[in-house]
Amino acid sequence: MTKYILQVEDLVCEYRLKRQRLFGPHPVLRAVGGVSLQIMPGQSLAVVGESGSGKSTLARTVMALETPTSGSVKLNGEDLFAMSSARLREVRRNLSMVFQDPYESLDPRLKIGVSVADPLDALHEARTSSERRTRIGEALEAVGLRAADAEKFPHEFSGGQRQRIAIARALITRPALIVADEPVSALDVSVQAQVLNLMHDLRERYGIAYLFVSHNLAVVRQVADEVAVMQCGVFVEKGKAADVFAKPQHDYTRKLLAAVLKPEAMRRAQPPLRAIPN
Amino acid sequence: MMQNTLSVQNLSVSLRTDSGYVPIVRDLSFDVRKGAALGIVGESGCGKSMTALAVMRLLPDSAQTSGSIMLEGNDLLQLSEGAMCAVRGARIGMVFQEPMTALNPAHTVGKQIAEGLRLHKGLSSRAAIEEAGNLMDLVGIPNAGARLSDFPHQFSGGQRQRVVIAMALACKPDLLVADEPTTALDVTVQLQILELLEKLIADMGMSLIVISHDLGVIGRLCDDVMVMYAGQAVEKGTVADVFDAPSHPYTRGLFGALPEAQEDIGARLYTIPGVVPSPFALPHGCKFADRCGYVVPACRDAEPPLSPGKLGQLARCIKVPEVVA
Ligand SMILES: Nc1ncnc2c1ncn2[C@@H]1O[C@H](COP(=O)(O)OP(=O)(O)O)[C@@H](O)[C@H]1O
Ligand code: SF4
Ligand SMILES: [Mg+2]
Repeated sequence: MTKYILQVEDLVCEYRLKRQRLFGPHPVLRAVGGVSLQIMPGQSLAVVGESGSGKSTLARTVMALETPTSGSVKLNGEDLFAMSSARLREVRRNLSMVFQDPYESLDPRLKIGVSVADPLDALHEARTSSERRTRIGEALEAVGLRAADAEKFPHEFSGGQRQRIAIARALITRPALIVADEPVSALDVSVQAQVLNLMHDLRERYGIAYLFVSHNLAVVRQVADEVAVMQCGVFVEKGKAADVFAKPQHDYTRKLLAAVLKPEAMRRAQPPLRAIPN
Repeated sequence: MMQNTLSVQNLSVSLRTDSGYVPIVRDLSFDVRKGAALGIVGESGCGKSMTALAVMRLLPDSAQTSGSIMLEGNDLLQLSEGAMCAVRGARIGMVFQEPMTALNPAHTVGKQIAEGLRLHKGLSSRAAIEEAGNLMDLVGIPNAGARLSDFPHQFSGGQRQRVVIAMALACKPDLLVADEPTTALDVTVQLQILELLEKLIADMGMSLIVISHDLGVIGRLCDDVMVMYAGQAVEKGTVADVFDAPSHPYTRGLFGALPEAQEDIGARLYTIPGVVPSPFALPHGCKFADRCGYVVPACRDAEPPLSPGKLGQLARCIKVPEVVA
């Protein structure tokens, strides 16, 4: 057994684009051009870069939703692309994904409970309906919703609540790694803070590891132990989050840091804000 | 004498629904100073976009509007629809969050920018296309002349937003209204668009309303700020005052939730508990009371008036001294 939950080696992902001429060759777009990374159990790595830098392709390949051109993705030491499809289904329980858009990721016609239990049902894991109900309730409560919410429909929830539901669905198989692609980019600042805190707390409570993808360096501060900066399909900088923020080495990292809009005018330290009494 | 490009007084907007009229914007007053930028900030559902639509008189037919909206001395609410059409596009430009909603995918961007110029400025087709090229250049699209004949899908998200800004600027409006202009963009592209807007208002002496849920955007671009909650202004003043000493608990909560404002890596963020109240079920008294850590019984008795904050701003709260203490 290796000690890493996730180990990606020399990953290359290419897309064949449409031919420009009828009998011409397919042009090839190299979305990920040789990326390696490791994540220890309970640790989190944030991949930061602009649109088109290859972050989502990397995330989808780690989820085995795409097949790489070359290189390997190992979960607990086992290569996802060298195993049988039966084995892949089995190891999938350790892997969950959360997407950007909380409106598109839930089927509007299905009750929340059905959507949340979907990964569990795919694994045929809950043997009885009461076990299934318990697991749905646990997952919803873990994200700050109520077990009874399983009976409601997506339109009864706000954007932030829907992202919680998407996270509950990701949690239900009790995964060791969650891959989150821009999980807060579509949310208001105040809701974004709630979801970031939730991800932070789930990690402390369940020891979940994250591969967290974002275009905004500011939002990864709460959840990342390590930060990898991606540009044109490769990592141009990778290091401890504190180091990357304090001493960026690459010009592109400095550019991303400069784009973070710190409300500078808020110079004066504010008195502590009184929390609402429970 | 300080001049205002736009002066909104006691604006209220209600929408007709199956269960009667619901108040969306309530007794809102604000000014946009000449050549200055006003930021409107608040969570989704606080009435920011409805306020912008009211200013442009683009609210749905089910809306009932009262108050006054003075643009350079004329009340827009008193204009005929025909007269208002001439104001829109010519004197008020608009930019929305999703550039593709403002662009027609079937026409070249050159044609779309030129259209406003022909319509509002009476330019000939040739002069309008030439001016469109100048505008594309002004908003920083490389090789502008050659790209006039490209279609919207041939541009990246950030460039499309630049095209929309070029369209909005075509007739050199007095006021540009931008509703979440950078929310759909990468942060690096966002910064470029904000720098562009900053340069344009400086060069053209235009006034600007920027709507955003992100105080970082407002702080970067604006001179004045109005914080909206449940259809009302809960704090307003200069960016310098409000950012230096936010005086309403809601404003302070919005600052606390910003990861950008966090010094410590890995720390939890402040979150504002609960959600914005539904306009169908506004609580009595202070609308923020259910989410406020400073609430006392008196807060629920009557709607607090706007009163002086810590610096020059106004805050709709009866506990300002404690909030800023
Ligand atoms: N199915 C696809 N076919 C062709 N090109 C694609 C496909 N998906 C993504 N790409 C291209 O791959 C590059 C990387 O995209 P993506 O991984 O989505 O980046 P990011 O997540 O950083 O926005 C982009 O140039 C994108 O246009
Ligand atoms: S008036 Fe009372 S409830 Fe309202 S914001 Fe002030 S302290 Fe909070
Ligand atoms: Mg992406």
